[in-house]
Amino acid sequence: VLLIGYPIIASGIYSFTDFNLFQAPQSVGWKNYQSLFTDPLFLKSVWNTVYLTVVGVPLTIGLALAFAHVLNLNVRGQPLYRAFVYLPMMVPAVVGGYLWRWLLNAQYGFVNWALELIGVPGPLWLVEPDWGKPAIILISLWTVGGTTLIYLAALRDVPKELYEAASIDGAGVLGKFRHITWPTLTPITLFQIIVAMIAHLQIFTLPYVLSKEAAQSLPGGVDNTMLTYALYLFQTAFTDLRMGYASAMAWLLFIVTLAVTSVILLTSRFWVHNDR
Amino acid sequence: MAGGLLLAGCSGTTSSAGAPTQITFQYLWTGVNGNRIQSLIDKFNASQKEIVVKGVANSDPVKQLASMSSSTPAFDISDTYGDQTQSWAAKGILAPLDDYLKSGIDLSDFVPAAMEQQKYKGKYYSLPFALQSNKLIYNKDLFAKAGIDAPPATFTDLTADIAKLTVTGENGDIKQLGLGWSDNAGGLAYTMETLGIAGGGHWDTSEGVTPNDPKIVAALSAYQKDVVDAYGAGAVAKFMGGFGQYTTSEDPFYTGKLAMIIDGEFQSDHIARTAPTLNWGVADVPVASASDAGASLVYSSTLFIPSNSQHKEQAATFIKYMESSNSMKEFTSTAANLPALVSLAGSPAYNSPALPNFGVWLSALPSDKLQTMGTDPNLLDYESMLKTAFQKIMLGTQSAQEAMDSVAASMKAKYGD
Repeated sequence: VLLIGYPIIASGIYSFTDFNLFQAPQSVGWKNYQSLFTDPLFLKSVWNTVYLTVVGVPLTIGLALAFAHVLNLNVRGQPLYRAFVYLPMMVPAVVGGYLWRWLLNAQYGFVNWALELIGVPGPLWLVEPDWGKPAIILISLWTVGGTTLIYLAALRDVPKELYEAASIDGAGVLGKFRHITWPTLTPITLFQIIVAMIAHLQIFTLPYVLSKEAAQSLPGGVDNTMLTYALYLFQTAFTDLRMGYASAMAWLLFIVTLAVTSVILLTSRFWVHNDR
Repeated sequence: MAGGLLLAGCSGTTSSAGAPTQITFQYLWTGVNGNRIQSLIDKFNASQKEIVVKGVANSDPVKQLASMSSSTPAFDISDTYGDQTQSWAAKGILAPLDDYLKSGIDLSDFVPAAMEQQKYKGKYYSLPFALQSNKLIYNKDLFAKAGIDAPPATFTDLTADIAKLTVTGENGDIKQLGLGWSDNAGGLAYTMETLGIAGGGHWDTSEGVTPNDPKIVAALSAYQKDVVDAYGAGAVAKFMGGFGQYTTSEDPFYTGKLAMIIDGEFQSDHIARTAPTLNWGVADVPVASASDAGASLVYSSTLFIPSNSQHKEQAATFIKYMESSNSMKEFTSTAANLPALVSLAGSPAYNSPALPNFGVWLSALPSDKLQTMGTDPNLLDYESMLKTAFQKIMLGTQSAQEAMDSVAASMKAKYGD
């Protein structure tokens, strides 16, 4: 009650005040919520977050599903390959972020060096505004191992008899995936989509590490193209000390997350296969 | 937020009769500079018996801020930057110092531009302890190779020298740039802000912020034309994106990738230790008009007392000790920062082989051409908007006029006239 209930209730109350931690909160009614929609930085952070979520979640799910299939093949050394895919998950996000800053260096980075080997001119990943968000998505896909392992466990639970029966009926690889694998995986996919969606809506560490240049500087990247919702909320609260405004942002994020999750759950009855 | 409210430390233990009062000085300096601060604390503690100062290093500004929101103070003195003072004073975070400054300190000896930033609504809320100010630092060997025998004194000279000192490859890639910055974190802002001042402009007046001051716009336009338009935004971004770490042996100025940078006096120490063979010089930042000679940006590290301190009197006594000529000289001459006292401009303490060319920065302290970024209570937000605008100028997505007009409009929309 003290550690969870009180902050939730308090932030709800503060969201209707002008409060900077040092002076008594002043009631401002709905002003904080209204101001959000005319705040260019807020709108930019919303756009950046929606972009990362809409592009990042399908890519995460698709790539994890593909990797899970590959890791489910009966080949020599498979346990080792599974460990390799999961390995980036063991690297702390901050360490991984700093590592990728160098890998994505426009002039000396390994990524652009590799691209040039195949004749593709490397972009200015963290320098050019258009490439900040793709860089975040690229790095977040590096840690797709956790999602992959969950899919792999689900794949191994699919009864073998179903595939054998399908083979007898003349089903090909695509047919087996469409009529056996995918329906069996839909409950897990529902879980994966919700978890990935929430993680993307709250993404903080990667854009912070990739765009933060010094202790005193504000993160967000060139032209604030990496300023995500959570990053702007953090800045608003702990740099600008606008706790009322930040509380309104937090509540709006909570409501949007709840709404999107509800929509996904409601639509799930049309595409999630459930034996029960 | 609730976590912030719960973040309460212990500080300033109340003394029993006759026992010394213990106060806490939490400082952002770390490493060698943190040790230098601790050495000053030790000397203070040994010099008297009424107050015991406990030094605590903390380089996290967010933690520092959270500590000050508690009713139980975590510290009685701390440090920040001059552009923070107005904002914190307006929010009631800082204690006014005027009552403690009536004796034992000569306020007229402080660098005037730096002192202006410490005031909010006529009262002092902090005092500058160490200053940083920018000059033009140039590579003498690259100048000689390009046939240039003296650093540029005017914007016209600067334009010509940037062209002579910039080297490109066959595919347009930049190999060496005439004027850039090696500090990825703040170099762009410091360079642009300094050029604006050297152009005769003011970033802030008593009427409010003035990002589209015509002289500032002209200065930024000139740099955009000399570098971005001349060599291409993509080529410049790619060149600068490949820079090594600031003030390490891979610093692009130390390795000869940049022929000129605009940077502070601390480079004297860094270059001496990290690139001792570099043949370098320092000069005033080139100006648009001869009447602006010596114009540059100055910024400060400051000392303050949080409003929740229970021992303001004792904290003020310690601040006066720190702001004394001897303490300031001891710290700044070893930390390679400028002192905040004009009277130290001629001190031989800074004439050290470990600080080559330092005297060029030091001798500029009495100049009335030094400016800060201003005294607006929303200065940090202003600087943040400027940084974004500077990035757009360097990416060539906006002209200097458009970028600065945009900042003016954003500040007006957010904070009014």
